[in-house]
Amino acid sequence: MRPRRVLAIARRDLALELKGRRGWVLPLVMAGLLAPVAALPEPGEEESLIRTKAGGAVPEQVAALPGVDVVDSGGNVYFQREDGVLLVHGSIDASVREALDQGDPVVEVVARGEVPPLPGRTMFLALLAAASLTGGVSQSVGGERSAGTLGTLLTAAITRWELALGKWLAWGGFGAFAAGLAAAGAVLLGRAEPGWWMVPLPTVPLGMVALGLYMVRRASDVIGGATVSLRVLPAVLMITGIAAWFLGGTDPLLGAAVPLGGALVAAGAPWPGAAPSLLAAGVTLGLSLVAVWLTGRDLDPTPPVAKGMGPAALGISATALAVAAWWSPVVGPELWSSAGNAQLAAELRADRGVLAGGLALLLITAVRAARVEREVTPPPPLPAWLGALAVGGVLAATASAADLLPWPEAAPLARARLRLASAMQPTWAGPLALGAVIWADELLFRGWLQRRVGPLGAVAAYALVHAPLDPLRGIAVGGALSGLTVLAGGSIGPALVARLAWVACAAVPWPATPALATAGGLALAAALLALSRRAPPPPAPPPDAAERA
Amino acid sequence: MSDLRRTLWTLALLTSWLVRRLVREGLVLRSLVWPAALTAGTLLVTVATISAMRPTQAVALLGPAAEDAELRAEVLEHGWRIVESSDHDGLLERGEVMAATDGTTLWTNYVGTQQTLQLEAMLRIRAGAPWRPRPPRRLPTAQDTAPSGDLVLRMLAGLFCLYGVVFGLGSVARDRDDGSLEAELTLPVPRWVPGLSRWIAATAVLSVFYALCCLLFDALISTTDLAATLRNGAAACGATTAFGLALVGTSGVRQSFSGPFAFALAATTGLVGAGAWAPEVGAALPVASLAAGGSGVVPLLVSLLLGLAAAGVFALRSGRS
Repeated sequence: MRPRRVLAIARRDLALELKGRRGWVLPLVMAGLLAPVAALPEPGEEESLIRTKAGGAVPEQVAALPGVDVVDSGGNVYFQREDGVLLVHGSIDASVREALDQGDPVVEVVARGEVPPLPGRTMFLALLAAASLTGGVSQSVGGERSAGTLGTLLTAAITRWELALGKWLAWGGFGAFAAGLAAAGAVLLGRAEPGWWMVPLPTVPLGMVALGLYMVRRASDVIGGATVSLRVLPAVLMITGIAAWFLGGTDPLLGAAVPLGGALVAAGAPWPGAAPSLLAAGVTLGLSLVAVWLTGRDLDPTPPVAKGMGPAALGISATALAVAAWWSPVVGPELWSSAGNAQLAAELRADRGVLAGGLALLLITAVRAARVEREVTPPPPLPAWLGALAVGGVLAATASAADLLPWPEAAPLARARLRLASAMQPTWAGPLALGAVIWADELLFRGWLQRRVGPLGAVAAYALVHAPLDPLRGIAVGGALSGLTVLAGGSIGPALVARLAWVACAAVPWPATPALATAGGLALAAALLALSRRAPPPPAPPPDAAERA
Repeated sequence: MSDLRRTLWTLALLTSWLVRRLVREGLVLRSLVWPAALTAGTLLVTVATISAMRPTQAVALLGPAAEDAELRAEVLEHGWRIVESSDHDGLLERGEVMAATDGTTLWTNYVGTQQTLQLEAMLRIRAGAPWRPRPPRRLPTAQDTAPSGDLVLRMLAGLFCLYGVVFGLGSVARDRDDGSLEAELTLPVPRWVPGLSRWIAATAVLSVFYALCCLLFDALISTTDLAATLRNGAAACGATTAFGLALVGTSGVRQSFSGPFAFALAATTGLVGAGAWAPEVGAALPVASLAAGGSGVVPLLVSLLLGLAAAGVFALRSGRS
């Protein structure tokens, strides 16, 4: 590592962007954002932005409070007299409560819990300095690549890591300098007290720039770079910041250990002492150096063509996507019950959730299918069609674990299992939702996925998506349909017929032998899979087309 | 093959090829999926966090309160468990109870929650206090949360409008730069066919992904009128794609792209503002109807007309080699 070359790259990057009259735009924008935050005085209690708006029969002692505005309508606290008693609707903060009690509380409320301290204004100095650098980061790699100068640099007498480090120092240093300058101004003007918060403050723009460079390292132009950084970096900063603040409520060191977010929160001086600030700065700098190293490792004049994933990786990624796409709308509404509002959970329309899940699975399949050439399979033999009808009948008789076992006992999981079980073949949800689910399941699991990961992989994926809390039934259904598809030579036609037969047979009141039916379903699945191993393998699917940048 | 049949067949093939090309692009796909995934994910994580942090539904009764049969009955009526212990600090610290009281003092970790306000009101009534809190009588229902769902979907529709401008402009500009537009213009079909196929493809892709957003949020938080929201959103996507298609002219990505782009974005945001300012008129115009509301039927028809008009403008301005 040669410092002079690193500095030369940094100087070059900054000179390219900040030259001429247009080069003044970024510094002026940053100054315009940082100066008010650093220089404006804190509002007094009279001018506080957080005020209580009180309406109704507001008592005099409450209206006289400095932080209270009396309003005609709306408001966050409302007073009403009923039978000589004053009723208070809405949030009652400590000052209002004290005014109402007039020094003699009949019932005293003692708040034990402590809200984690909020970071101060200096956190915004770090946030603004980091957020303003998106353009520079995108241009730094993507712009150089589209202009062809990245290749020139990489063939020059400079290593990739020197190049990456130079770019990081250019923009991270610029942001750190701006944040530091603003912080010094705030201290000199008396708006902030000097303290350990000044240590992690400059590491926030350094960390953001390092992460941003890593994310845009393969961008082919400035637009590609900007869409990645604009979309991802704010989300990363927000998520890590919230996580750090939350964890800091338990222990400041825990919050400070969150990369990037810990430094952001620590820059707002909510945690006393040197240890959290030093830890936050160290962790974020560490993250920065790792990101810069990875960026240097991957820098190339032209973005590499994406390699196709192996079958296992493909199966895992597709399953993970399908799990998120299915569980969110189908099981997600149940979270309202766990949060204490069971009525809302019951009122939300489950059929719309099933339709959303089905559409999401269809889109996953459509996107995957758009990347391959059309796969033609021979027409299935007649026995496969006839067998499909029988399979559909057996599947209609299989029972969910709810009928066989009392597991799981925890109420949220039991409710989730019921939702998933009813959504597996949602005849109650209307023809549109039912059709979407059937088509989505067969195209994704028995069509696209089974051809890439095999029938066992497809069965596992199906069970994980549709019946993770009812694996026996998931395996029975998935196994029967997958086996049928293999016997049909890879065509999903018989599987679709089996699903339709299942719909028709579901209207038939089967005898109360759920255990036998489920065992029969499992046996059928095992038999079909065993037979499918003897059947000739279907033609290998063509490799997925490389993803376009 | 007759001219009409050839034209329609080419339109269908070109549209399906363009749709396939759009969904093959990782950048496009991520842009379409990311907003819904982030907003829905944030909602689910927030609700999950609230449910994880929800206080135990138990109250510790100390001293005189523990012997008060009426108070005990009232507490049980609210569905809370009673824990009898003198160590209220320990119970609260361990989170085993949400509040503890001896009848005149209420200790709690969670001031202002519905349960602690109910408990405080109970104690104040028994003590004959001059004032007491009136907690909300009921939790929000689906009807109460629907406006929040509508708001999120309106914001997402605004984002999809911007995508529509990019798709309309970018698909022509990029294809002109790489020569594929010229190849299409050599086909023995009217010049509006490549333009109309681009409008149909972009509008269809945007509308389907927007429909997914609408269904997702309707399932998670409910909406007031899902069908109207869908129609207004689809109309907005179609109209903004038409803007991009009509304004692109002879621009390419590397040449004179920013001018038409900025103009189309300004027109889009102006329409949203117009819809908020004059809702009676805005309800009939695509994009404006996102702010104005309405059934979305008229905006959808207007959007269709705009698409056809944009194809015509494309034929005049862009459909030249």
